[in-house]
Amino acid sequence: MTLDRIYLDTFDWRLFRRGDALVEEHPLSGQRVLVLSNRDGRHTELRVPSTGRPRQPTELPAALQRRLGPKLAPRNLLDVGRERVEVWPLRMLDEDDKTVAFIDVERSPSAVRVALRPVRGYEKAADRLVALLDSQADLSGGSDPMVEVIRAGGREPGELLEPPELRLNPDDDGHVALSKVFEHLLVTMELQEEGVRQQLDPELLHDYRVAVRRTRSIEGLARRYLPEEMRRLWEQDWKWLAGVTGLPRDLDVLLLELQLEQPTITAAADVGVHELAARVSARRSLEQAKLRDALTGERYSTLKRGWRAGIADLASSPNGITAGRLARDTIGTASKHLLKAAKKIDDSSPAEDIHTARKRAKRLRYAAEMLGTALPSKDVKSVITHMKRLQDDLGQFQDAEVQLHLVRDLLDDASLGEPSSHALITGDLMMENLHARQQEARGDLVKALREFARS
Amino acid sequence: MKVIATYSIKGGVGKTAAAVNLAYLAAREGEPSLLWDLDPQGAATYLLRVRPKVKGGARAIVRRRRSLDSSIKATDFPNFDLVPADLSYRHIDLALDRTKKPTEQLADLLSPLADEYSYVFLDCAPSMSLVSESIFGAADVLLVPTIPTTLSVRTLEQLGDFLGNGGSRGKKVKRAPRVLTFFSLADRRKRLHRDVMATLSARPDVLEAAVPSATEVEQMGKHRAPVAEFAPSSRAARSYADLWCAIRKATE
Repeated sequence: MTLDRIYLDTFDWRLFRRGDALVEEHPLSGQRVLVLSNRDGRHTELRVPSTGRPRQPTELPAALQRRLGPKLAPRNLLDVGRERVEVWPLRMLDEDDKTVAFIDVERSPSAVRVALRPVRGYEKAADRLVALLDSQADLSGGSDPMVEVIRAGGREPGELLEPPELRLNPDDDGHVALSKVFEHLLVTMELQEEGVRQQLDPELLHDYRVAVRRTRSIEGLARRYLPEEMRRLWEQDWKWLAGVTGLPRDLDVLLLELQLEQPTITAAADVGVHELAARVSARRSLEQAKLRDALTGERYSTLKRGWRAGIADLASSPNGITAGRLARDTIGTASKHLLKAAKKIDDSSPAEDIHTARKRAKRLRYAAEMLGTALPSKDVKSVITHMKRLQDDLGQFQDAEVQLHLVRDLLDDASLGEPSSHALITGDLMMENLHARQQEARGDLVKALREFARS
Repeated sequence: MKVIATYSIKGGVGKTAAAVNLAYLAAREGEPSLLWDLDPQGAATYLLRVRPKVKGGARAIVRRRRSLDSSIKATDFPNFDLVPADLSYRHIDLALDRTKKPTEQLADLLSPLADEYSYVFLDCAPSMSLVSESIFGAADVLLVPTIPTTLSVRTLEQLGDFLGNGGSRGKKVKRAPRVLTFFSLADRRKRLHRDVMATLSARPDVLEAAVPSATEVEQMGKHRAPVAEFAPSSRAARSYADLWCAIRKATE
């Protein structure tokens, strides 16, 4: 029997890390099945007929969804490795012709494997078979087939796409420190780039966008230490890049919200939820196509090339102040900016003021997280913790604000067709929920900002 | 996890065949299913080629000296596991009677398996006893195969009375299962069968799907497998598929 075996996992290897393997087996003729097994003993937990390749946990058959859904959501399921194998399935039977062990002899392009699968309740029979095979055949202990297949595809299972850790030396020159930060962020972006282009998972765009935002924040905060040319040449291009990543990310968040928070909207609005989600998906496809074009276009490659050249110039032109001093100055500036914005916020502040405060809180956090690595950790730890908390509250408010606008905009968008009454009701319910969430967040964030202003 | 007990006071009405075929069909759809053969005769265990032996017997399980999990055997069919029968199940009443809340014991024993299985089928011995009451306490659905004869109808009514009156101890069952009936060993050539089916089919607890009296069902003993494995396009296989469809829908 010849079959294609496709290993599925999330980009952050949630199944592999749990010790599971989820494989779609696609015989050249016959029913496709999804097989969930434990990688240690190759004990098959579930074997479920498949109707099509699931891209998201919500598309898995019901039994697998119940078992895996909560652990995988909201990640996408990716094809992490595939192989074509010829399989000769054998069984070990007892006196009643009951199967007590499965022996699969498999030939793949790279190896011939004998895979023994114990049967629940008959583990001793499997042990006896292993002993027999060990004594009679010249077999060597094989490695995990999933690992072999993924490695053959040029990847290391379990390995995350992360840049090397950023650690600044307090005695480094300030320009050298900034060049290290910018290089770290550029590498982060480049690691996610292909995944963003291929839309493998919304989280990759999130990480990519955060790296863009961090670059802009550090560039803005440390502008007095940067060569004027570096800012003049690239500032507008960074703004453009932040713009083209913004809407696709907001639409990702809205779609996840619709998928995950569906029960809070009310079951009766199901039809409306689906329609609204379809409108979000349609707009998202358009925006993602624009993003893909942007990331394959000339402006982007020129930005990266030019920025990297700027980073190299920065590293080779010391400015005389130490990384430690630059970090303290920058964090101090960011802190002052936030304080100014925080003092403006009260119970009736407009959303724009709250948005400004959020941006400034982010800038302070980024400066503390990145340039702060040049300082003793005790000096920056509390700032980071404080900012994370503050950002949660501000984020709740601002995310609700963005989604409110998006829902309204999507329902008004004539190019997506006239919305049905179901979609309008769902939109109204959703906006009500978002308003309520925003009001709740407003109270928390005003309190948190006041605390910050006092501290 | 849904617990479905195939139950009847009468013997030879098709409980075991229904339990084996329905658990097989659920598993084939990808729903992990467990069949617990509670009948000491061990017919379901035999049909699935497993030896009727549980280490420590019924007492070890009821007294929690062994977990139910440790007695589970995989059948030859994906997603379909079995807790085999054991001769000691003849005395399971005695073991239950020595516990504090005998009618809650089966539910308690099954609860750790809730994350693992979508369906548990209980194949019960034909009796009205403490085991039956423990089954009523554990089951979400009591699936009653009924041969369309006057006596079977009477038996069905007796069961209704028994459940309504709170079992042999006269105590109200905490969580009464939903009773669903289907016609088993039905022979439409017989006028009596046709008449009884026509009369009872108006009842909301009677499922439309009926399992005919068919050679393929008898041949399960020869093939030691569910009907759909050796006679997939037979009338009996189709009937069990229809029955499973109806039960799945009713338990959704």
